[in-house]
Amino acid sequence: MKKDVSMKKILFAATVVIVAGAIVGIAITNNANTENDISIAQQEPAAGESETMTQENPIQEMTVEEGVYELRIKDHIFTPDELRVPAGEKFKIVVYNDDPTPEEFESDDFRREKIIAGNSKATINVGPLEPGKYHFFGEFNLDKANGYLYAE
Amino acid sequence: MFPTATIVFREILEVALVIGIVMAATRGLPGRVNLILAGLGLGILGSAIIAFFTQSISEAIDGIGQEVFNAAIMFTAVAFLSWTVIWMKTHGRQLAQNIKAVGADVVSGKKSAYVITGVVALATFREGAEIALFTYGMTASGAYTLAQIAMGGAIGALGGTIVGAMLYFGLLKASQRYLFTVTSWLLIILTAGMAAQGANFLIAAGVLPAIVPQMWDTSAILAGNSFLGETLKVMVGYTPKPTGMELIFYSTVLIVVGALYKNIGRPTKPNAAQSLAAE
Repeated sequence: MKKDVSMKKILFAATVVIVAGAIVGIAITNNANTENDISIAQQEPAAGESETMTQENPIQEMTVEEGVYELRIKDHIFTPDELRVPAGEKFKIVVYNDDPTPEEFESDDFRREKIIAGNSKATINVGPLEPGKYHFFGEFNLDKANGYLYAE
Repeated sequence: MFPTATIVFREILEVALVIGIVMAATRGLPGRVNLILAGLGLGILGSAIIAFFTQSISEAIDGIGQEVFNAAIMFTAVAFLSWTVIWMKTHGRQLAQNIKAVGADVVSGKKSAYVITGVVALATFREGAEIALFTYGMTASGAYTLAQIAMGGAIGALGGTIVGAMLYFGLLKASQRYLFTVTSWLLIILTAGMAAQGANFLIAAGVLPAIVPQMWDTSAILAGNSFLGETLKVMVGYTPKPTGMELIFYSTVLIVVGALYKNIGRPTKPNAAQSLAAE
């Protein structure tokens, strides 16, 4: 089993290096964050708009243009957290991340994953979907960031 | 602490499984540990850079930059892995027979061996970048202390590494006699799965059509986000709801690389060399 010493070397290096990598990541992204803060002010009016819209009608299309649906992330919570989308058609979801921290918009049910930097947006192409309920989530905040698509 | 451990485990698992198989497949290759470690180092450096440029990458190519970038990583990995499998086949028999005797031969083919470094680096890029971004988010939100996050990360990393190590030692134990054949086919299947994942990124980008949006749905039998589902996703490209396009990519890579692997290194090569020498 002499050669298996090499595996131990890798295992040890892997653990050390991963922790170190995370620390480097923190340091680097911290710098990126300060740049992002400037854009918060610009985005706030838009955020207010969507809030009033969702209060009136919690489950609704929020269609901006044909086949485009909008979601916002604030404090790691999706608004709205439920969307009705057409089954059997392609559509887009624009996710606005109003948090300063990055999020990964992900769904195992409709098989998409996309990282959205803090204070920015991303467009996700989805479908065509079979009729049904589809879970999506923010992978970096699994306890809070959850929502559903209803394809009908 | 727990969310960090879970996420880091999920990301590390993918890297660890790839390294586990590559380690088993390249058993006997001199210097493989350093090649793999170099790949890991390069991968971590790369993932930090990717994490930093997340937004720029996303906004590139009219907002589909991230999907195209991920697909590019996948397809490069497919090319590198295919190369590794075929290259190992041509050197594998010699390696298995007598390590010392082929030392010089392998050294002369050293450039090809760097492909292994590339494979590991590519496997690390995406997952490493996700860990960096996630960890940053956790720190910035202030919900957990740095110590808790570091602890969670260490537990997750350890867990993932243990699974990778189990795969490696399991492979060595279970298939001592046919280790080379078993690991080669494992790599070919893994490569096919990566090609399918790459195809899914291009479908998400709107570059490729899905052809059939959903071939079948096995999520009731095995959920894609379960531990087994994720493990099989890396190893055999399991997904509960594949599209027609992914199936095409999967089977094409499986057949093409599989056929190359089976037919390369047959006695035709020495004959060709002999006839050349005769001339």
